[in-house]
This record gives sequence, C-alpha cells and structure tokens, in this order.
Amino acid sequence: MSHSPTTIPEHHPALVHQFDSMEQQREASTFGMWVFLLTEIMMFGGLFAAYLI
Amino acid sequence: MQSLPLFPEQASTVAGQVDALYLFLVLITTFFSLLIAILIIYFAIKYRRTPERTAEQIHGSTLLEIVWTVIPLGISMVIFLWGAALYFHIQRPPGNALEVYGVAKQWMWKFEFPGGQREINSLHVPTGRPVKVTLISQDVIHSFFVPAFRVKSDVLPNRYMTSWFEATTPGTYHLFCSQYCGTKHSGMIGEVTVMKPEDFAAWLESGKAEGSMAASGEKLFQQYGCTTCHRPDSGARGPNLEGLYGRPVRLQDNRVVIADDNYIRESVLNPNAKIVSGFQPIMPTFQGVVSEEQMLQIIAYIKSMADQTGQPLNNRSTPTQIRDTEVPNVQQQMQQDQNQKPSGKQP
Amino acid sequence: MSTAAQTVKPVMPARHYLNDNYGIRSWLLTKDHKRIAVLYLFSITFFFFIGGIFASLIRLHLLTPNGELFQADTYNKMFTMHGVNMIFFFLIPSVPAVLGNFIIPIMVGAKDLAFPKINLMSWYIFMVGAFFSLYAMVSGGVDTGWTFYTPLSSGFVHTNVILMAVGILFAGFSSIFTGLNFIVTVHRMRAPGLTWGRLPLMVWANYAASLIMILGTPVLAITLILLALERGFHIGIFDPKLGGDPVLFQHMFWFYSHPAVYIMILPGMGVISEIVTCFSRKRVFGYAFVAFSSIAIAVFGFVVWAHHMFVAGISVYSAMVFSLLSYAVAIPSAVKVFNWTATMYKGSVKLDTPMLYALGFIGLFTIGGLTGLFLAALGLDVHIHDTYFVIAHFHYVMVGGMVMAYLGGLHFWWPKMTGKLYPEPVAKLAALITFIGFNLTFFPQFILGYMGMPRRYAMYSPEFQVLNVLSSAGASILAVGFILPALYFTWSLKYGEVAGDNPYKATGLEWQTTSPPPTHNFDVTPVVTEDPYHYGAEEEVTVVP
Repeated sequence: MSHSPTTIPEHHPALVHQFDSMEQQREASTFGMWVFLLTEIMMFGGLFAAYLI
Repeated sequence: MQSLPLFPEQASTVAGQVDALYLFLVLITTFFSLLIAILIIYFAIKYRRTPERTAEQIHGSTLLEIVWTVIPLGISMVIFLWGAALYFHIQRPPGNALEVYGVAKQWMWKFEFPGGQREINSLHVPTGRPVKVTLISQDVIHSFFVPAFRVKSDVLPNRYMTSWFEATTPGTYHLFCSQYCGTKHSGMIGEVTVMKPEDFAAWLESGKAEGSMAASGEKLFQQYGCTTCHRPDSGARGPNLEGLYGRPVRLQDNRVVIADDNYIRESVLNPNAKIVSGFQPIMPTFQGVVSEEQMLQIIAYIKSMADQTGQPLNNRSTPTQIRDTEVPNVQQQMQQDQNQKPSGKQP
Repeated sequence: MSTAAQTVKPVMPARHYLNDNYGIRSWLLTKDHKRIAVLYLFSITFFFFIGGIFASLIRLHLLTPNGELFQADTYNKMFTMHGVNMIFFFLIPSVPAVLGNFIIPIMVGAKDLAFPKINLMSWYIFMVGAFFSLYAMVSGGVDTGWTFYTPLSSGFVHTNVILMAVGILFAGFSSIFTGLNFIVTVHRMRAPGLTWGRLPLMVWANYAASLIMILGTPVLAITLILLALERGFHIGIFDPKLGGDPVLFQHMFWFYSHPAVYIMILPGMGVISEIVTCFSRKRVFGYAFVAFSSIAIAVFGFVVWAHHMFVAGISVYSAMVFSLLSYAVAIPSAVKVFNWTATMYKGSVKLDTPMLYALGFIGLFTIGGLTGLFLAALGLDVHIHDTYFVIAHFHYVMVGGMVMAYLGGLHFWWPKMTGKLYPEPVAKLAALITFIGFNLTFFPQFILGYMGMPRRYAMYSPEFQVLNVLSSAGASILAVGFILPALYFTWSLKYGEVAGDNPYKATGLEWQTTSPPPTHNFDVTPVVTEDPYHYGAEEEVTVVP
C-alpha cells in the first residue's frame, strides 16, 4: 500500500513505498549492489582458491 | 539397576591423562553451569515482580565486564595449554615403537606386522611397549578409534596416517571405525587384544605363514619389474633405492624432500609428482595395479635395503651435495606432503 | 494506534496486514515483509516436523543395540536427512527469516525491508531448494551424513547427492539474500534518531548473523558445486585417484559450516536480549558489550573451522592455532550469558512463557557452550571427536539453545504477529515439558560419547544400551513439548484472547503500532529519542563502581 510522507517533498514517480526519499532509495540500492558484489567475490574467490590449492 | 559406567577402561599410558583433563573440564562446566542456574533462579525469585517495587535501571559495569572476560579467558588458556601439550604427546610416536600396518576398507580392518603376521578386524599388541600403527584406506575416509586407549586417527585414502599408543593392561578392547563410511560403518569394528610381552611374542611366532613383509615386498619388487630401472649401477634409468629410506632426496626443481612412507607411495602411484634430480619422468604409474597392502610390503622391502655409504641418493653425474640446511625436518616434510596435492599438474 | 488499554478490553484493529488483501495472489505476490515472514513460518514449521519425524525414527531404532528396526542403509539415510532438514531448512532460516523479517523493519522504524521483492524472491528460492530436497528424500534419499565428506559422497554412494546439494545450494542463496536485505536495511533505513547505539540488540544480533550469511554462504555454494562436478564429471578435485585431496573438501565445507552455527545462534541470542529485558523491566546490563560480542562472535567464527579436523590430518601446529582461536570465540558468548544474568539483578521479574524459554536458553546454552571447551581441547578431542559427545554438545546449543530461543521469540511476538494471545498455562506447561524432555534426551549422550560410542552408528555395543534407552525416552517427552505449541498456536488464531498493541508493556518500536500491524507499519515515520529498553524511565540510575 503506497503512502505519501506527510511533510516531505513530493512523491517522485520512481520512489518505492519503503523509502522516504529518492536519495535514500539510491543510496540503499547502491549499497545493496556492493554487498552483492562482495558475496560474488567470496564465491569466486573460494572457487579460485580451491583450484589453486 | 546394573552398573552404569562413565568411562571406558584406562588401558594405555595416555588414558589417565586424557581422563584427568576431562575431569577438570567436568568440574569447570559443573561449576559455571550451576553458578548461572542458581543465579537465574535466585534472581527470578528474589526480584519477582511485585507492585511495591520497580526495577533499578543499571547501565552496566565496565569493571565487571573486564572481570568476567579475563577470568574465563584465563581458564580457557589453562585448558588450551593442557590440551595442546597432551595432543603433542599423542600425535608424535616415540622412535622405538613396534610397527604395525593397517589398511582400512569398506568395511573391515586389515593389519599386518613386519614379520608377516596378519589379522582382520583384530589387533594383538603387547603391554609395556609403544606401538605405532601406520594406516591407509583403500577407499573412503575411515577412522581408527580405540576408546580404551583414548586414541583416534582418521584413515585417509591418499596418504599414510599414524597413531601410537602404549598399552598397559591385558584384555580385549573395542576398535571402532569413527568416520562415517557408508552402509556398514557401524559394523566396521574389531577387537584389540593386549597381551603380556611373553604371550605376545608367542602369538607372533605362531602366525608367520607367509613370510615377512619385507620378503613379500621383495617378491613384488621383482614381479612388477621395478628392478628393470631401479638398480645401483650408474646407467640405471631410475634412482637407486638402496639406503633410500629416510634420507633426503634432491628433486628436479631443486627442492629437498625426505624419502618417507608417503614419498615412496606417491612415487609409485603418481611418479611425475616428484622427479629426482638428474632423472627423466619415464616411470609408469602403478595406480590400480599395486594394492595398499602390497604398497606397504614394498615399502617394508625398501626400508630393509641397507646402505653403508651414508651418501644422499643421487647416482647420476651431477655431484651436487645436499646441505644440512636444505634438509627439511620431519614435521616440515609432513607439512609439504599435506599441502601438495599429488596431482598430475606437472608439465 | 490505540493506547495501552488497561481498563478497556483490547480490540483487533479493523485493517491490518493480514486482512488488507485477500486471495492467494495477494500472498504469493506479496512484497510485505510481514506476510513473507508468515510464509517462511509455514515452510520452516513443515521442515521442522519432517526433521522431527526422522529424529523420532532414529531414537526408536536406537532402543536396541542390534539395529532391528531399520536396515543400516535406511538408518544412514535418516540421520542424513534429519541433519540436512534441521540445519538448512529449519535452523538457518528460523529466527532471521521468520522473526527477523517480521520485526526488524518495524524495530528500525521502516515501512519494509530495503528490497521487498528480493525478500519475496528469497522465499521462492528457499521453496525451490526445499522442493529439490524433498524430491531427493522421497526418491531414494541421501546417506552421506549432512557433512557430505568426500570421497564417500563424491564417488562411493549411489544416492541422490547431487539433487540434495542443489536443494541446499538454493537454500543458501535464500539465506544470502535475506542477509543482504538486513544489512542494507540496518545501514540505510533507520528512523531519525535511531543511532547504532540505540538499536535493539535483536537488530545487532541479526546484523552480525547477516554478515556471516553474506560472507560464508557463497563458499558453501562453491563447495557444493565442486562436489556435484566431482560426482558428475570427475574433475579430480577431491578424489585422490584423480589427484584430488579429500581433506580439501573438509576445509571448504567447514569454512562455511562453522560460521553457519553462528548464523543459527546469533539471532537467537538477539531474541533472548529482547525477552530478558522485557520480563525484568530493565535495560540490558552492558549494552555495548553485548552488541560488540555479537560482532566478535561473527568475526572469530570465521577462523576456527579446522577444529572439526583435529584428527583429520592437519598439522599439529595448525591444530594448536585453531584450538586457541576456538577458546577465543567462546569468550564473547560467555560475556553475553553473564550480561543477561546481570540484567535480572534488581529487576522486576515475571516468569511468563517467553521468559521461561529465555531462561531455559541461558542454562542450556551455558552447558552446551562449555562442552564446546571439551571439544576444543586438543588432547581430549582426540578421544571424543566423532562420538556422541559431539552430538550432545551441538544439540545442547542448537536445540537447548537455538530452538528454545526461537520458541521464546515466537511466543513473545505471536501477539504482535497475529493480534491474539496464546493460552498461557498450557504454554508454560509445554515449556517445562520441553526442558525436561530435552535434558533427558541429550544429557546421557555426553556419557555415551565419553564411553566411546561413535556417532552415526546403526548398531552399537550392548553396554551402551541403557543410556540409549534413557535418551529415547527423553525424546518422546521432547516431542510432546514441541507438538503442543503447534496445537495451541493454531487454536489461538481462532479462540485466543485479543492481545492489544502491547500486552507485555515492552519498549521497542514494534510495540508502538497495532497488533497485528498495518501493512505499512507506521502512518508516520517515528523519531527515536530514547535508548532501547527504556523501562522505568522515571528512575534512570547509572551504576559505575
């Protein structure tokens, strides 16, 4: 159920419901992508380490 | 109610020491568990909710935090050091041990003495003398476990492991496989029979049917054609094996390794893993040809080949000497063997 | 948002997340973290009972020493599938995916997790993994043990190893995405005023567990993929006949699976912090220490894996390092236990059901954790490794600890999640039955282990029988303790008393909204001005001796 924050600037069309602002949304998405990349590093790093050992 | 035993019998020199550490830990555990349990129950009763009293909001106490961090840390260090010292003792066989060889397979134990005596799912040992069991698996990982001796070692399919003990009390004790190995894992059990030295000597006498391991090994050495290349003359295609056992060897890539059981086994099953300096990588592999029992017999034979010269193995032209500093001590060599996959990744 | 109703009987809110939308599509395509939590609740409860059935069959079989109930192969499949189910499809998701998913966004004052669609995808991935696992079970089973040691699993068994590995792989990715979601949410979506130092310890604990989830689980993924490749295509990484090293598998497997146990226990510890504070009406003793202990456990948890391998052929020197570090990882857990106990001191203690489970946790986790010290002691581990001592140890921490924490949390937040109260007297009885049944089941196993009974044995030497019978008797009681909550929770949905917003008068943002909460959690993003656990706001006392 979408919701407009009562006191904040208008609703950007791309703002999804769980975030309060586009800035928060962008920051969270960027951070999330870095965390995901970290998991991929662990995965492939593990693969390469296994091959080398 | 029938008697409820809490410990296995103490039948080795190490058993009592392991039990002592155990008892110490039981005391610590009992003390701290009771402490916490009593405190919780006491607080739950003494500070139970009543309308007259409100809770006192306490942030914490850095002093208390330090105290109950440092004290457990101290106790832990004591336990660690005690356990580590005991482990060191358990993992290093003394030099004068009686050797036995064990091959584990799904789902039985096969033992052989240097004199050729063999047993299946049974192991006879004397009291009063360290016994070193050298173990290998034909298939999956097993584990050699004798509760009464408090010893255990996994048995691997790619290299030898050793376990040692000195039995103290005649009797029969359980041998269990303690690494899950498939269908009949719980049936892979046996009996260790400890005998007084005289009885053990008599038992050894009675079982020499097939000849010593070294003698069997010599037959295999000829049967498999090893003598074709491994000869003492300088034109031989393979290194001379006389006096090889236990001595340093220089490899093609200039490393120096000790020629121990694992080295010999690897050389037979995966010859290209380590090429002796000055020789060509032409030895065929005997993987799938030589069984683990035969391998042990061949090693016994190689061990028995005496050499008086005291020179490191290198019967080719290059007279490079192996300096003392290059010779790894036994632990380092064990380390190298572990770290290297015996893989065929050589050019 | 209704005020705490002491004089007026509470009523269910008219609209909340459960009745906002009806129909199967609204559930299967939901983005609401609360509904996803409920979906997980159903899934993992199902797997808990599957795992429980296997456990019951195992204990039945072990009543006699000669293994008369099942064939050895069948028994081997049962303990394997008991382990796989309980660990990957129940314990690892339990607190994070059910309680964490539900409560954490509300606790930080957010309307949802950072990535709701990823949250839903995480549940679907879990269900795909669950499907593979179930299929593997019914079409022949797996009999390698949940540890899948090579070369047994890569070349010697003819059971559905690859299918099961795929199932676990999917469950692992589900876990990674949940962890990712939690981390981003905690970093980026805290309400104004909610600094790190004001976060409830449930959030700290789940955050620490999430760190492990994202860093450790990928290594499990690779390990399982390599195992499947070895088994299917003989790539020669673990098979010694192809030049591989079977012990490499153990290193890789335990590199994940040891931290995994901290993934399992840390969220449970978070729950305990919430319960002990609420039912002592007191702020937690030593907040910073408890918070940082969670992080310390996560960090140290990554460097102790080879304590599962002391007799597997690692060098004596490596073994010493791992033993030392294993003692280091025990200390933060001990600190937490002391802090929880100190929280009760001069509190106002009420022994409601969640508190009974929390206190049970503290006692049993202490015993379980201390028996870990036995296993970390090198010279002693040689004797007790791969015996029932290990089984007793991990069941004390996982069942006596983790499952009790999960049940405690479920009881604590049930009113928030459903708007209904469970019947307190029956719940207390169930907690007691569980405690008694648990100890009777697993304490004898310590003794069995020291006596030398190896684990994974379908048949055993007759002198072990008395203790086995005791253990099986305990298991029957424990089963009752677990079945009762399933029954009365279901009952409470229809017949339970209405709970109201805050039946336990707890602090925490989740109690400031209705029970059940509205779909969007908060009408207005709250602003946080107080420390967590601000019970007794009128009498702030700081004691610094």
